[in-house]
Amino acid sequence: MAEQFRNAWQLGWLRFTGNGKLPALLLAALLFLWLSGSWKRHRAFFCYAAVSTFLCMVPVTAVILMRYQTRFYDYEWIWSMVPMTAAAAWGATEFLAPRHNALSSSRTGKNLPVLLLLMAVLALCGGPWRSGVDAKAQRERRDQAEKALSLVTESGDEEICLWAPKEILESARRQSGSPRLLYGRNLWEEALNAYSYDTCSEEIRELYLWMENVQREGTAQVDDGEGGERLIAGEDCLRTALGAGANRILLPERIDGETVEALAQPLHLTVSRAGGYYLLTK
Amino acid sequence: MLTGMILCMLAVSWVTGRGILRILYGEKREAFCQADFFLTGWVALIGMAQASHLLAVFGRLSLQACTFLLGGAVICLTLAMGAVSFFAGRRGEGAPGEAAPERAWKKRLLPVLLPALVFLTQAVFLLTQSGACLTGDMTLETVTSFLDTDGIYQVNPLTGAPYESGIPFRLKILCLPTFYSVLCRVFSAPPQTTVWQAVPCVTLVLSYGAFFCVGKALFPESRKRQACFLTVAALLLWAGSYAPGMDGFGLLYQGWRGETIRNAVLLPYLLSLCLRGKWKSVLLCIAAEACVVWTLYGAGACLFVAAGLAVSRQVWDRRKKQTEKE
Repeated sequence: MAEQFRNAWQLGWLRFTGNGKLPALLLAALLFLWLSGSWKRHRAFFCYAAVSTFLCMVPVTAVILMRYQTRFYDYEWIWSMVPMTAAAAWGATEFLAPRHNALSSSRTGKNLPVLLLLMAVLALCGGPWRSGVDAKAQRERRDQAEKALSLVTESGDEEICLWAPKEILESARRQSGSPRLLYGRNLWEEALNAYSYDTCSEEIRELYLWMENVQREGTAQVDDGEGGERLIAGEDCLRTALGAGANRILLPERIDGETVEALAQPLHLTVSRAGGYYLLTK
Repeated sequence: MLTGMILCMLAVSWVTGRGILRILYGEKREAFCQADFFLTGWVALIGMAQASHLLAVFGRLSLQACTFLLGGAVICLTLAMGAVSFFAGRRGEGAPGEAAPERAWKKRLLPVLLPALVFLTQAVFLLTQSGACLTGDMTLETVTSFLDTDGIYQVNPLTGAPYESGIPFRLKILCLPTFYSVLCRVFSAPPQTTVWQAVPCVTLVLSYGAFFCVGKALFPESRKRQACFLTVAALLLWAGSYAPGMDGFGLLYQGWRGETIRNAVLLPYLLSLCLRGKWKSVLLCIAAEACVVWTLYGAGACLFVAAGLAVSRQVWDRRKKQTEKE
């Protein structure tokens, strides 16, 4: 319960209002509707909007609403119950319409400043530039991964079981349903664990840690989770992966070619190049 | 193909929605607009997808069988509702104002130019940014795994390996992945195009329809205010595209998700229905939410909003009656 309170306040409200300011705009719209008396036209809607906003802001009621919407969802989703866009747009319309007849073409010149002001206010409240989503970079990463994956799928006819860095694994299952993976995206996106009761063994988790470490630093030094560091031998990892059924392994180019050859030779794996990766085939 | 898929979904929604509203409200249907037809039809499509999905899950049917089932159901319902609208429409022919003069059309269209422009910018943004935010979502993986195995939840979508312990039941009964897989099969479309482009475009169109309905319910007397409301709502969708959970973010980055369909389509539409007192359609929206989003045994945000608005309305009606008595 205490954790849910913390979620509702620190991770919820503060984070929810920290990035963009639409909730502030909603409050301003509600205040304007109240002061101008426009709320009387749709009393039920206004009261519901005001009460639901209040319920989402107060931690105690927010926790109750979080329980109502099931623990599958985070704090921000309780705001679904607040008609934020509709109420804010209602307030803005009541503000704009009587003053300037904003959409009348004959008064475009006079209304332009008002419209620009409104757009500036909206832009300050938030926008796609604050979303932190870099679509271009994501597309580039996806293209690179798909290029490497096409080389992997061309390398044989049998059913593929792949072990690779996470961006490759992410693309593999989106591109096609056929390649099997040693582990899925739920290892680095914990929220996805809610979609399945399946769990991951410690051995497989170590494979993930090793691969990402190689991808990041080109070494096999892995944090043991208790502040110290320990070595996970690459050969052991490859052996575990092959034991788990992997028949295609993609290693990042950060690791040098000689090391890859040294890893592959004792396990009788063939090494070739696939995009920016080494492809080890059984 | 993309345009065909979008137009087909919208056309089917329009025809079925028109017929359903005719059946539900009879002659009172005149209180509804074109947007209502699309939205009611979309809700009906979700309902049919849910029925086929449940049959496929519990009957252990293949995706192919489910495709035939849903395809057949959609064709039958569309034909039936088309017939209902056609014959009912013929009976009501000759109503005044049918041959509206050209100026009336201009008067109608001019105010919606600005929201239409904002809509276009959002549609272009949506199509160019497709699949940009996939955090916490595995719809595409689920659809590709359905298509590959020709079955529903046969393998774990994230790994392609058979499930060891299975998936939560409440998640298993949600219909959207099956619906999208059937769309891929019917239109021979790649899952990426269906999930990242076609469905979000339909969601965007329907969201505008829903906000148009809200505007109509809030300002029934003024077309200009309705247009102003729609413009501001459209701009707010841009402004709200900064964080997950906001309507704009869902529409522009994750239009295929159940949460987005609920927040940007079902909830605004439900709000407009509550304001107009169309409670039968409200029930449809509540049911549709339970088909697309994980809810507390069917009690989701739609039920909460509808109950909240109904209670609020009751309280004000009582107060009004008391004041009148005094």
